Amino acid sequence: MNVNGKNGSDHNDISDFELDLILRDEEREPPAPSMRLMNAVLADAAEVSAARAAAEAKPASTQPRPAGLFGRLSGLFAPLGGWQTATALTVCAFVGFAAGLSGGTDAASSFIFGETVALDFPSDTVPDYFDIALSEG
Amino acid sequence: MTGTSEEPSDDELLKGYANGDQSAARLLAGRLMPRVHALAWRMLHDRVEAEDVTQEAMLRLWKIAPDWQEGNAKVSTWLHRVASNLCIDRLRRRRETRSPDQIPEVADDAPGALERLQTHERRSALLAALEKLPERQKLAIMLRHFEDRGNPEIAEIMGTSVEAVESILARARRSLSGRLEHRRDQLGLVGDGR
Repeated sequence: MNVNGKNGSDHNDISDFELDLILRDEEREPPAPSMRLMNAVLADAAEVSAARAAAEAKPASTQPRPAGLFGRLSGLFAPLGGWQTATALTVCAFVGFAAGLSGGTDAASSFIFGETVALDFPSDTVPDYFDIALSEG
Repeated sequence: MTGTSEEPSDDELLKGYANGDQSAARLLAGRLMPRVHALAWRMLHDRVEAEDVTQEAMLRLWKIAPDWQEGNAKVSTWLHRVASNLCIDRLRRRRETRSPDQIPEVADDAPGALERLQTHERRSALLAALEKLPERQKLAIMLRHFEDRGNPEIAEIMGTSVEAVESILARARRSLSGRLEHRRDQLGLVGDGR
């Protein structure tokens, strides 16, 4: 195709008119985007949506931990089952300790077994133990 | 684009997508992607690179969707600005790695053998001249002459003033003319009387 915009052009300069013709001739439709590209773009759109939905859902499922000493203790007791379980364990420990100091174990064993319970070690085992302890120490 | 009851605007579609409507994304992609791809293809003359740029520009649009504020800019203009910048980045990287005379092969789809050869030569000459333009001059030429966009929109896409666009275009045309004047034969500008 001849895109000569001037009759009998006898010089080498490209005029504005000729340049427009050249550019207009190039102004053809470029290839259409492929189906693969369309699928990739839509897959990106779905992925971005899913990531955004996940990011929005995350803060709702995990409650913020209260700040300060109580918050730190809550975090510490979490593996035990929370501060309620930790409190119950502490109370049990104190009750047991107090009962041991006050000699209440006899009363407790009388209450449970009907008689006082005492541990009786065989007489020959204890001296042997102390013998070993003395010889090594 | 003005929204009507049948045809939602780009803004409305983007808002719909931000609210989880994937069909809005499909409509928006079908509407915007071909022009972005066309610009990228014209800038880069490489199918794979043009598709990469298009995908990346669209990805950025999906990411910005929840924060999009209507009235700031047209969605299509914003998208073209992103695609233009991506193209310019790639052209700069290409110039760093390729020799100046290395011009990508031009797609040749003319019907007749002689006409094909002439078309191929003409396009090669033009492409070679375009490739040697500075990136922003090339972008301005693409948007003005191939995308048929007005100077105000080109200014918005390029992030500059209308006056600057006019200046860039004038320099680009002068530069093109200068580079093409020795290739009149290739361009079919020989005064053969036809």
